[in-house]
Amino acid sequence: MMPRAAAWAIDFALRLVVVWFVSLALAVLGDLGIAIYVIILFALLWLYPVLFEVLMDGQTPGKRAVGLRVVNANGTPVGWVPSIVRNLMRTVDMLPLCYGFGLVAGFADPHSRRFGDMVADTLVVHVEHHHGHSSAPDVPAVQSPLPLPAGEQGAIVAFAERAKQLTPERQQELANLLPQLTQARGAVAVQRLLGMASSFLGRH
Amino acid sequence: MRLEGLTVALRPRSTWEATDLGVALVRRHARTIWSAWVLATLPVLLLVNAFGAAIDMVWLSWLLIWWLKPVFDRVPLYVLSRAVFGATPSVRETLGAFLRWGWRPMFGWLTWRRLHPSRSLLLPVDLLEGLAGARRGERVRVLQRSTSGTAMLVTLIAANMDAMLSLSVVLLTLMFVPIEFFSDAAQQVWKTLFENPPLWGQCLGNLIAWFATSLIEPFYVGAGFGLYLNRRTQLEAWDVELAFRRLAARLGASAAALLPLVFGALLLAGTARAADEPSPDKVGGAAGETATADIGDAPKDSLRRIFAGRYIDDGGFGDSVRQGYTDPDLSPKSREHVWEKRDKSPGKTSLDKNPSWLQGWFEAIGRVSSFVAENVLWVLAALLAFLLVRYHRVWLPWIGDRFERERQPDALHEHDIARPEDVPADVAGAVRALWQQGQARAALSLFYRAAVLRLDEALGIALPPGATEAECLRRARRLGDTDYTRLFVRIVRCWQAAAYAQRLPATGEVEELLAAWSSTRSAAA
Repeated sequence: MMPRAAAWAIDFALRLVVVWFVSLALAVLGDLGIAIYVIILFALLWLYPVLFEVLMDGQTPGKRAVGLRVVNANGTPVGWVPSIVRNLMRTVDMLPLCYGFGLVAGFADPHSRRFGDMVADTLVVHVEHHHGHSSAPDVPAVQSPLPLPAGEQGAIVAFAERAKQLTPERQQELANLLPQLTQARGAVAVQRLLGMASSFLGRH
Repeated sequence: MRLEGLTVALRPRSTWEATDLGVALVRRHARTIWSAWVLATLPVLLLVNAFGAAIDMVWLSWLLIWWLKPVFDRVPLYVLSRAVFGATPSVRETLGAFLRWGWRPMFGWLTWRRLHPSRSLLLPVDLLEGLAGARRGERVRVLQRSTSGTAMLVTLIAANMDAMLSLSVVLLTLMFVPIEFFSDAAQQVWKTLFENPPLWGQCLGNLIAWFATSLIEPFYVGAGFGLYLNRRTQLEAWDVELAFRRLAARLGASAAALLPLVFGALLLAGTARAADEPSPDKVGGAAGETATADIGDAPKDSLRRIFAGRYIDDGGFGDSVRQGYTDPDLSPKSREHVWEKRDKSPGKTSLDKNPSWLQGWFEAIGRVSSFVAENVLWVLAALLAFLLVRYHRVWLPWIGDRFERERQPDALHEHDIARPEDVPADVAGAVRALWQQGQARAALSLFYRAAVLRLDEALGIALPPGATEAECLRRARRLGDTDYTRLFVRIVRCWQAAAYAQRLPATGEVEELLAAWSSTRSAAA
C-alpha cells in the first residue's frame, strides 16, 4: 500500500506539472484555451493511467519509479478492457473525495487491491529487480565433495554474491554451518564456499 | 532468536516491497493487533478527553493522543516481532507487554525523537535490540544507510493517509445527506467540527482522529518493521543462514542413512561384478519383448519408443497435461448471446411505402451526388499523381536515386600552387612591383606561392597538388616554432583574408611582411 501511494503521488505531481505548463501556454488563447485546457485535463485524468498501463507494460511513470506493475490476476499483461475498468472504478475508490474507500479496501484486501482492481480482476505487483549486490568474487573453483541440487547450489552462490555486504565474522559464522561440505572452519571454510560458488557458476 | 521458526519467506527485497511485507504481516495478525490496540488506546483516549473537557482544552487531548503515538506503536510491534518467529502472543500477553515492555527507550521517543522522520524503522532497533549510546548510534547508521529514504517517505505517506482518512469519515456522513439539504448540512458540519465547535463536536473530532490513527498506525509500524526485517536480512543474510541450516540438516541425515549402505556396497562390489556381466543381455531381451508389444503405433521419437521397456507411464504426466488444457487461459471458451429475428421472411421497409415520385427524386439526387463525388475523387487522385511526379525529388528522394543517372562530378581543375618556374628569383621585388601596380590579389598570390615553396624547401618534401591552406599550415607546424613558421602563418592568413574575404592588408603590413621575408631568407642563407 505504501508504494502504491508513493506511485500515485509521483503520477499526481507529474500531471500537476504538465497542467501547470499547459495552463500557462493556453492562458493567451482565451475561451478556446479554456476549452483545450479542459480537454487536456480530462485526458490526464482518465487516459494517462490507461495509456501508460497498456502501452508501457503496466507501468505509469510513478509505478515505474517505485517498481510496481499492473498485471491481470493470472499474471498476464494487462489489456485495454481491464485497464479501462480499473481506472474508471477510481470514481468509487476516490469516493468521499480523497481516496478513503480505496485506502480502506487496499489495506483490508489480502492482495492490496482497491475496488477497481477487484472489479477488473487485476493486481499491482512488485517488479523483480536486481538487488545491486555484485557478482560472486572471482576465486579459483573448488569442486564440491558432494553433488548438490540446484536450490542448494543457489544458496551457496547467494552467499558468495552477498559476502561483500557481510562482516567477516558473519561470513565465518555462516560458513561454519556447513562442516560436511567445507571440511574446515573459519576463514578457510569461507574461501572453500566461495570456490564452490565459482565452480557452480561454471568458472575455472 | 530462532531463525528456523520464521513464518515469512525471507529474501533480499526492495525497500518498497519490504514495506508491503510488513503490511501483509499486520493483516495476517490483524485480530490480535487491533483487539490489543483498542483495549490499550481507548481507555487512554477517554481519560485524556475527560481531562481535556475538564480544563476546557479539548484540542490538547488530541495533541496528547498524537504525541503518545510511539507508546501505542509498541502494541503492533510487540505482536509482529513475536509472530514473525512463529510465537504469536495472545491479546492478554500483548496488553501485559503494553504495560510493562519497552518503556526505557520511550523517554527519548516522547521527547527529542518524537518528530524523527524514520520512526517506524528505528523503533524496532530500540525495542528489540536494546542498544544504547555509541553502539546504538552506529547500529542506526548502518540500518539507515540504504533504507532511511523509504522510511521517511513511509512516514510522510502514513501522515497523509491519516489526514485523508479523517477527512473521509467527515465527508462520508455528508454523502448520505440528500442533495436538497446538502448545503445546510455541510454548513452544520463545518460549524460543528471546525469553525466554532461545541464541546461534543470537539470530542467527536478527537474520536474521528483516533479512528483514523487506529486504522493507519499499525500498518505504519508494520511497514517500518518490514523495512527493519529486510535490512537485517540484507546485512546478516538470514535467508542464506536458513538455507545453510536446511542443507546441513539434510547432509547430516543422509550421511547417517548412507553409511551402512556404503559399507554394504563395498562388501558386495567384488561378488556382484562377476555376476553382473551376463545380466544386461537378459534384461535387454526381456525389455525388447515387452517393448515390441508395448509401442504399437507410437510415433517414431516418442518417449515410449526411445526408452522401450524401461518407460514407465504412471499417468501423472498425462493428468497434468489434461489439467493444463482445462485452464481457461489456454483454451478460452466463451458464450455469446445474440439477438436473432424470429420472423425471417423479408418484410417491407418504410421506404417502399413512400410514393414513387419522391423515390425518383431521391434516386436522382443520389446519382448526381455520386457522380460529383466520383469525379472530385478522380481530380484529387490526378492532383496527387501530378504532385508526386512534380515533387518526388523532395518527398520521395529514394526514387530519384534509382531512375536518374548519377551525375558526374565536375572535373576539378588543379593549379600547382608552387611551381618553381612561376616564382621569380626576387620574390620581394616582384611582389612589391605587383602591389604597387594595384594587382593586390596577384601580389599576395605570388607571395603565398613563394612562401609555400620555401616551406617545401625547408621541409625537404613537396606538398601534394591541391593542398589547402589549412594543410599547408599543418605542414608548417612540423618545422617547429621558428621565425619562418610564424611568418608563414601570417602570410597565409593575409592571403586567406584577401582571397576569401576580400579584405586587403594595408600597404604597411605588406611591407613589413616583405621585410621579414628578406630577413628570414638572409638568416636562413
